[in-house]
Amino acid sequence: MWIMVGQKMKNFQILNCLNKRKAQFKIQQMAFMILAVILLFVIALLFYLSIQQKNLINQSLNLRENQAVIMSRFISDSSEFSCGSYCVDTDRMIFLQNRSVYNKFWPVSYIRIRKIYPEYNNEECGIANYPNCSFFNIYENSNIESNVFVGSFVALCRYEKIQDSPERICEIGKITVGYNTN
Amino acid sequence: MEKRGFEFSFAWLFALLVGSVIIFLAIFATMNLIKINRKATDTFSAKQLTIVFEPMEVGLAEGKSSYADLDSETRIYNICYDDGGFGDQEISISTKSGLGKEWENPGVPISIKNKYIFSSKIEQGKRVYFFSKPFKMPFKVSEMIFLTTNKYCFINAPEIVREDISGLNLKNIKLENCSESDINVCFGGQGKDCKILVSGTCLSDCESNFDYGYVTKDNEEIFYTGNLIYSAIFSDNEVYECNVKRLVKRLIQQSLLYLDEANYLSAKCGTGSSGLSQIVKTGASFKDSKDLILIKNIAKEIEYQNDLAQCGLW
Repeated sequence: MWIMVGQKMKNFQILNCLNKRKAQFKIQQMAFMILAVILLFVIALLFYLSIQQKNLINQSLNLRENQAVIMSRFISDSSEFSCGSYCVDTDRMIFLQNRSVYNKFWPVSYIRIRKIYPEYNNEECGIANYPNCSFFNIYENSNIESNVFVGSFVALCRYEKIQDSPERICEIGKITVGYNTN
Repeated sequence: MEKRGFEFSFAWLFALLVGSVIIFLAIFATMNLIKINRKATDTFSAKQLTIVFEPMEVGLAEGKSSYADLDSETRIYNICYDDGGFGDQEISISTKSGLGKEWENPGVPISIKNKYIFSSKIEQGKRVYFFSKPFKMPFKVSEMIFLTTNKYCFINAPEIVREDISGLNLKNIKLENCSESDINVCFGGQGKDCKILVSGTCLSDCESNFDYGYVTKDNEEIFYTGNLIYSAIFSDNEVYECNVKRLVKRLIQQSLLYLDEANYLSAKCGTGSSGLSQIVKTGASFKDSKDLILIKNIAKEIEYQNDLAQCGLW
């Protein structure tokens, strides 16, 4: 009888040991599963975030582009430029260019005006050579580096003395606005 | 007797513990993601709104109006700063949401230097009405953009204001049949339940009594001339005074620019510039809207000079 009890005890110990190992193995299995699930979630999250970031960048580029396009169309109506509808007063432009107080005033990289017709020497306009020049560098924003520009056609008007009486003379020009897409 | 029970093994305990941590982390991450997304969307909307302001330049027109229907109830924050060369305004947006807090902090503010937006400090609604009118002193200094989500009723409005409202087809402003939800704006101190009172003080040489005057709102008086009447009606007193200062700063810089042009043209066609230097001088000592009338008087003189000149500056 004692032999049988001893045998049973031995069997129980072996069974217990096997059960323990099985439990340990199960815990290990579960831990790996949890790790794998977490990793899956993290990868999915990173993937989602990268798509979101890409979308956001695209949206911000579109917004910048829209702003520049709209600005190039409407800037000639602003009082610093305008002499009527779609008309830029070039007599004023020679004083507006590089006026430091307007630094960072417009949310674009640069604003330039070029005479298209009639053609003049390819020189920047200043008091000395005006009106026999071809372009004005009106505005430069050092904070925004430009890599794209948009333009729209405008009338460039100035006063000229013809036979002792002042006349308004208009030429064809283009106003270009630079902006950044990076 | 046999006892029936549930064996709560270590594996169960472990799974529950780790499972709850994972669920907590997942909820936390989702909430944060939603928060970040809301912030990004709000910032994007604010930028879009500021771009909508660009085509509000009226050119030769007397005004422009429009409205925008938003996806959900939205708060538009308008903060004005009058320091620096031209001052600036920061526009930010916060949208109502059923997830998380009803109203989160607004998105990243978008700074605008070249526009003048008159509104309350916080506008809330689903439909935003905006219209623009030029600020002339006597040349057009800039467009003023009025942004509101409220509905108004103008009582005893003068003919000039009626013309503007019908010309711009402003859908949020009634001239008769006011309802209880409307904000009543009473002209000349006549009317019932007036939240805003407009008093005209122009007595001579004026198109209407309301060419200049003052607006009483929240027991405070703010002064206006010309189209600033709408700015005074639709915006908070603080935003109004700040934007008027910004407009005067722009007027000074434009007057200096016109002054240079006038000096250049004087040899060709005798363009006068004395009034412009006076504007610069008066503008430099500008304190608040009370001083607008001083600038307006000089502007009248300049307009007369410009009309007589062979080469008009504007």
